[in-house]
Amino acid sequence: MTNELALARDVFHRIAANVELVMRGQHASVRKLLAAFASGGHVLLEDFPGTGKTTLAKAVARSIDAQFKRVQFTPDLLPSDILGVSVFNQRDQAFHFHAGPVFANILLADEINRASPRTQSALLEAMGEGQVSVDGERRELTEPFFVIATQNPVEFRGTYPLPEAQMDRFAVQFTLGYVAAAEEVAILTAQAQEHPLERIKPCASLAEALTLKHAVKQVRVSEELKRYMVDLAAATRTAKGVQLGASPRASLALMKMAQALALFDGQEFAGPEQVQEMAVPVIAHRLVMEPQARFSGLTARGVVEEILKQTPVPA
Amino acid sequence: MNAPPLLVGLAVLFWGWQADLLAFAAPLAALLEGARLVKARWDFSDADYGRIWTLCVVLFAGVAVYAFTSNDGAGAVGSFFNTNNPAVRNNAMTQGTRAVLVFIRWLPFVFVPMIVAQAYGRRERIDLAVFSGLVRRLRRLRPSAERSPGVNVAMPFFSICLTGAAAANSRGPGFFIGLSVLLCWALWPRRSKRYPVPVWLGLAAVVIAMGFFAARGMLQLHRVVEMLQAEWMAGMFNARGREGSESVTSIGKHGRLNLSGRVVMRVDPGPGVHEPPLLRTSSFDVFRSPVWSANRRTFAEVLGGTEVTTWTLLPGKAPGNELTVHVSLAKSSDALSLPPGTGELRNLPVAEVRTNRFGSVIVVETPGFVSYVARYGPGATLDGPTNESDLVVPPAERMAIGGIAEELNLASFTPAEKLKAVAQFFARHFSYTQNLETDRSAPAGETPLATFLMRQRAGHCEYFATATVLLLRQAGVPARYATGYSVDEKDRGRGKGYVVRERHGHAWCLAYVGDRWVDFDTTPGIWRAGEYQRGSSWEPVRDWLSRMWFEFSRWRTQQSGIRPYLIGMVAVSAAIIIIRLVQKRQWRRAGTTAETPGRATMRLGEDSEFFEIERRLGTLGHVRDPGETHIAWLARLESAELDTRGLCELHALHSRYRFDPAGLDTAERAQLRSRAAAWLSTQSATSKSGTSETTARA
Repeated sequence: MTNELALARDVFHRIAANVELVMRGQHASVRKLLAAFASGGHVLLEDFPGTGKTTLAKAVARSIDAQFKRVQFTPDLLPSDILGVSVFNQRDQAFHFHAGPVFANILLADEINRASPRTQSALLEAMGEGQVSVDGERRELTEPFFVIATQNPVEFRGTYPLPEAQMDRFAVQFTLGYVAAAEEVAILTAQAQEHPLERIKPCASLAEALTLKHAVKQVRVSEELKRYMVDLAAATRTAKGVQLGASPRASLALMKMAQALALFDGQEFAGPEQVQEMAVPVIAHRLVMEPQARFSGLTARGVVEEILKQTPVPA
Repeated sequence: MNAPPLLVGLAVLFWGWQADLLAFAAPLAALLEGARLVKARWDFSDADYGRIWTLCVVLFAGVAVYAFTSNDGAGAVGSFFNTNNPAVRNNAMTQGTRAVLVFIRWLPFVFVPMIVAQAYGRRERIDLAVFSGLVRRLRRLRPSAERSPGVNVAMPFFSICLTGAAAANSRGPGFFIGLSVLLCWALWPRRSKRYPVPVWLGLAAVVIAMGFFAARGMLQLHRVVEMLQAEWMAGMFNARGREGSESVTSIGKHGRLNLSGRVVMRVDPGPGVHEPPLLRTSSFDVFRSPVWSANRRTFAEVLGGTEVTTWTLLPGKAPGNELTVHVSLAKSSDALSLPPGTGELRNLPVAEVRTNRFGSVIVVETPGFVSYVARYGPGATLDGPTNESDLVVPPAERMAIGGIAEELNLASFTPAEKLKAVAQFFARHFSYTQNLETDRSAPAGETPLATFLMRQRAGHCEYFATATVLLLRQAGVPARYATGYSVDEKDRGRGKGYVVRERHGHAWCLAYVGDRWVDFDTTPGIWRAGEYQRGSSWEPVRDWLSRMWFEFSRWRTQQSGIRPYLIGMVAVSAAIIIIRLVQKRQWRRAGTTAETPGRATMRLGEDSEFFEIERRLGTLGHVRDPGETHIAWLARLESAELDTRGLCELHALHSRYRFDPAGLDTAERAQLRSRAAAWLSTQSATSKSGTSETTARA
């Protein structure tokens, strides 16, 4: 393993260990979240209230010595509340731009589906292109830019489901789920005195984070594996019960995530295991199911799992 | 479903073997299976596949025309709708079926371009829109609708080959055996690997045995149904024998005789023949009103002449006259209509010619349409010598016949004078009609013939012929009743020769005078004119169609078959399509192009020894699912308490060899090889004890 990759892997594990001080029993989730961060994708955490979505996001943000902002999405939130606003200054008779929370390295969009679709869409450009246009002026965001959004399940009251274009901008979506009983006891013990989040210290610098992102791109992917990922994405387009299949952006995200995971696992190349691990979190949330199929109990996750089973994996 | 190796090639060979087309099938099979060895692939677009499909359709049409013309299938289908005669209908149906069978036999040939294009094309599957205009239209209407992945034409082609082989109907045991082997081979790769091979083979054997006995049962059922059908047909239609064992006359029926104007044959008299004679089909000696039948009607086979198409009926006779007859004969066997004293038949390509003592000539296995030359002349005829039945007058008719014979004082004349007297008698006192009224003055019990002779004195040829025969017999002249055709309508469409219609069917008398049989026709000559006037209003149209078919058939037989022309036509259209195909395309070497290379080329490390391990574990029942990665599989094995020590490290090497584009260096490659070999050897050493352990646990 080359020096750069070894270094990056070290950074990876350091951050993971740091986050797991807070997030007990969530090793797989931390892996995915960090893989998304390293590969430059954004994360959507969907789960019931109280499962630690915000805590996880905060823990990651605090582990990296980066600028962290948080927006609590509410129904009356406006796009300018996120992007920023130009304010007229009486004194020098000019407009001055007040940057919004989007100008940060790590943005936590809490309960993103409580805001109106208009506000949700304000993040489209930022997430897709790493820039925002305010008052017709293009402003670059600083590297790295990483959005962690949390949302309550769509069926909850007072929520606006994210539009599919916005969904497609998230590289991965996954749930944390409830931890095992023993872990939950440990959580209670840990929080008896103070929240462990308070004790979290940054363990990686911004420069190290950038090296990590650079190293991920060095991970090699064979043609056969690329073909496998494309086949997976293509299969969703013809799968039964699916109205809208996965976009090429999905297969691209899948490749990047597989690269990041491979780095995490200490490999210089991506393998089919990493692809299979990430296929559901990367692809499932992008599928739009037919109402008929939804009522018959078919879920996007189930569709992707079935495709994984059916598509011959390169071995 | 992809075809397993050699399957399509074997199916093609099988078809060639069964259908006797091995010379064509063997190179094709080599071509198809050769695609596995040749790396070069042709880059076809959808439009190209469309053109190839068009080519297939052209071939389809060509083969269809070939099949139907070579067996007279179209003529058969035409006559099926053109006739009410059940025998002709039945025959037409068999011919049509035969044409369809020939067509199916050639069917694999039709789809050869498509299968070759797939074998040598880059695509594994061909878009459905190539085959179906409906799919193309749907695509246009709903562009967003999901597309099917297309079809692999190998398996459909495989089934077409089997169907073609079945249609060849070679009736040997080879077909069933070959079919079973091919189907087993087709299913072999799809078998469940969870069961041992002997179980699968045993099940296959059971299925094949069931198929064998079911086929036998079907055959027996077929026979039973066939017999039932024959009985049913016989009972339903009371079909008249085609070979002229008897002739049911209309004697005794009243009302108008309705005869069709359908053209039966065309006759071209040879040089020197000004007035063609009556053409006799058969003759009869026993009258049982209203049926004339032939007594002791045995046939003798005539051996072929100098050529296969020349048949000498009367050896030693040198006939001076010639007559060419163009006629469509029934395939299996049919009776010829011949001029009196025919000694030789030429240009008659049939398998067998039979004659009997009544002058009937039966031909067997005809090619359908024939133009034969009958050489005839006065003198000897085919008719056998006279016997007592040629002098019998049925008791029911004796009173009337005897009365007339006495009135004419026939007994005192010489045979020639008797004929003259009878002819004069009919010419003076009788008239011709096809429209017989019921004669109410006739006393009960009087036979129709007696009514004709004593009271009505008008009737059609059957009355005249029957009465003449019986009168001559009464006078001591042996006589027979003859049926056939009168040739007297000029063929105005062709401008030469004569046309013979169904309604020109005629009956007359054969009299034995001066040691030979002569035609003796007493029907007033007016009947010819009367017949001619009675054509229906649309007869010209039908004549024209009939003539077209005649010309086509004759052209075909003269040209020794239409096939070269059709094959030429098909070849030209095929050449045009192929030229259009080749113009823009060039052979491309797979792998040398920058475009998406074939799947086969981008698989790295295919020769990894880890696959050997996987195969070994697979034979022990630890089969990896197609969607399962090696790591997940190994984890599963471990949880199944299988010893996978060392496999994980080995897999790490394998994984790098397979998925790292940088690959392994030679030392690592050697390591992978040696460690895999070591694992395999230890595994096989412990397998004996291990297997028993596993089974014990299971």
